[in-house]
Amino acid sequence: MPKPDEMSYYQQEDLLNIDATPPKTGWMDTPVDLRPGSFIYPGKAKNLKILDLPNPRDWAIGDDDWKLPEGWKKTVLEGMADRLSKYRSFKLFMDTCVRCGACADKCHFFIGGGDPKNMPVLRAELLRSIYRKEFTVMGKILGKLAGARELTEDVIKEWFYYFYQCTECRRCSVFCPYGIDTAEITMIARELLGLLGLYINWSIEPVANCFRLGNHLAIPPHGMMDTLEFMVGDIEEATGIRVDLPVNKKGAEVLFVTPSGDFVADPGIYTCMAQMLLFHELGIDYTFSTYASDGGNFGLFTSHEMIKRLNAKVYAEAKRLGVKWILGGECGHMWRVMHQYMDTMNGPADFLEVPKSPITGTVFDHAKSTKMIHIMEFMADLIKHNKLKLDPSRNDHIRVTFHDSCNPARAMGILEEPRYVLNAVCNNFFEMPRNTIREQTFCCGGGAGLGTDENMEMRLRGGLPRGNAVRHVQEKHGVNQLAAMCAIDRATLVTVCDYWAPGVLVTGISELVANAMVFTGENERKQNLRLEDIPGREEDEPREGDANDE
Amino acid sequence: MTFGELLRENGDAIVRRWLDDALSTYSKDSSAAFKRRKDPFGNPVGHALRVATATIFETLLAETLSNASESNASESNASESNATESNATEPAKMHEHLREVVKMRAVQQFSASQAVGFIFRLKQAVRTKLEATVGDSRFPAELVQFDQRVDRIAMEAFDIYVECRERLSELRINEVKRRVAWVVHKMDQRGVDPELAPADSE
Ligand code: SF4
Ligand code: SF4
Repeated sequence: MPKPDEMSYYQQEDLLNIDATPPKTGWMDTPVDLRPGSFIYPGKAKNLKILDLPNPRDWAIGDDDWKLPEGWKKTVLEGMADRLSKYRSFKLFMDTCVRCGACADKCHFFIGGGDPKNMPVLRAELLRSIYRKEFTVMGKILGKLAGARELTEDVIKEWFYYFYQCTECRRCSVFCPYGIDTAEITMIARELLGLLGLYINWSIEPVANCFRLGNHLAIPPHGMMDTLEFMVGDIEEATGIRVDLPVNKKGAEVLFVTPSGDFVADPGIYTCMAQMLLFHELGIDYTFSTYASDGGNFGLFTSHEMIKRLNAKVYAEAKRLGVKWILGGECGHMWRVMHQYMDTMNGPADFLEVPKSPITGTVFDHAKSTKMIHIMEFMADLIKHNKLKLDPSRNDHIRVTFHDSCNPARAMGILEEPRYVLNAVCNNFFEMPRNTIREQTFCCGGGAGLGTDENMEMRLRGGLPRGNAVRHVQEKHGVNQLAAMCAIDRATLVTVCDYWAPGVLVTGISELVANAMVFTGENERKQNLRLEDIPGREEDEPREGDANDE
Repeated sequence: MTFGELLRENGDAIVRRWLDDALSTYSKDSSAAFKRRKDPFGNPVGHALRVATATIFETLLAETLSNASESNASESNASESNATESNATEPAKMHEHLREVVKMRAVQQFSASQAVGFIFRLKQAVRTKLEATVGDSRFPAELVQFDQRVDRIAMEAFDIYVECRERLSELRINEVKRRVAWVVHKMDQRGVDPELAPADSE
């Protein structure tokens, strides 16, 4: 036996080489490793039944037999054929990719985790390989040589695993020279999985809830009244102002639709309170609805049909209440739906008027068709016209950075308004590095139905690029808050920051606005909406705030 | 030439080899991508590994060199205090960079041994590169000492790994709690059973 000071002793070291290098097999032959912490639990039978979806049954990812329905292969292939003829984009995305690799290292899940199947090009290939095999001559003849493969149960498992590791954020599409949008490929793949009754519970349960009760969290109308009343109480405690609470008010001018996450959970509730305060101060004639009680739409993460089914309530309620136009709150994916699908799916909303600010008179022509505008557009317009009395120094203890949420940024192009508002209400606003914001923004890692807790490991991988950029501004500029105008972000980024940039809190933009606003009849503001003491407010000397700091 | 000098001379090659080994814990395509891009925001994993491997090696090299100079001139107090002073900031930085890498690997598709095992690959990198230079092993005692230093770092990495995994579970619990904490608290204050909460309770 050699001694430690003899060279041969260290041959043992070779033991450490075991497992260090992953299998050398090609991706098609590398079986999927279903690791707990990276997958999401399957949709429960009861939820599928509520929605009349096929093959409702209870099953587990770890089961060998996923209980696919009789003739499942035919179902998938027919589903593909149907969608290839219906969606030209899908057909193009299947045919066009030249495998240039420009998208390969742009997905946050790949960047943070290093799993090659999280390269957008390979993610798409999971589906494209079947397309080639079944729908192209080359694939039929040449098989593997042409990048084609057989559809098997393992392929289905692989789809389920990886298409629920895509947050449909579309970052990859920004870099693709052909504009191939992997998010849309993921959407189709999820529809195909759905034909077999394969859903994740984190999205199908909210969908089932929304279908019955109008919101993802299954808050019944009286429960919603309760939470809103709690907020009215907290607002009064913080500001001394008792705001009114219009709910289901017929004939109101504006229907306010916001994500249900902002009704119940910290820190979204502060965003909601802030908006109630703002409407109160300006005397906006608005109403909440207990029927259209969620702007969010997890149908987007399920199927096109489901988007339509859940979204329909918004126009229906606007019509029933007889409002003139619709205002939407700080939600991310809801805006993808409102902006890109609502009009064609459930419009035309010809019973509504083009949104017009009752305060400034601004007509929001860009929303001529949907009749719905974003709260940030509304606020930026108010600030531009000097309609808000602001004291940004109340936010001086906050050093804030802004996370562009994927959908408002990439799907909708709202890039300037939030920055304009932030600069007006905070004296200390710092941008994250250029290739992590605006169109190139990094996802929180928990969008598109992935924001549950059982896949926390995967979410933190996906959240790494965002968290890394946050930490950079934390170190460089002392940033202590991250603003985001998305309810999913306000839930998931708290955790992302706690892990990657501990010490940075998450806030909505409206919350910062309300904390800086000087309200008529307010008390001496010593507490913010979180009912925390505002630092430096004890020996409160009124200071003039500069409305536009750069 | 002393062992330390040899290490210093071959430093770049050793670190490069070590980094390659560490990157090879990812699949081929992924490690190539992590190696290629230098941008710390577009490629945080590759960047963190690059910085950490270099800093860890530098720290160990400094220790080896100062150790050698100590034993050569143990009566000279000046050189000793110099050595500790100039290295005072390095270990702090090293711990930070090591933490960064382990934090990442703790949430990637690795087992615990895979997540921290890359540290041991430094031993191999040193042997491969030094054997190529000197032909045989001339410094068994120094090597053992160096290996012990590597082991120490690996132990530290393991502590960080466990800490991160515990943090992961904690964050998961916190998130679940946060989803309902506010409403439950309000209901409690009002003395209403949240399950029942009637519409006209006020
Ligand atoms: S849409 Fe986003 S999550 Fe999906 S592959 Fe592209 S970059 Fe990744
Ligand atoms: S960038 Fe577009 S064309 Fe290039 S590999 Fe990715 S999807 Fe294919």
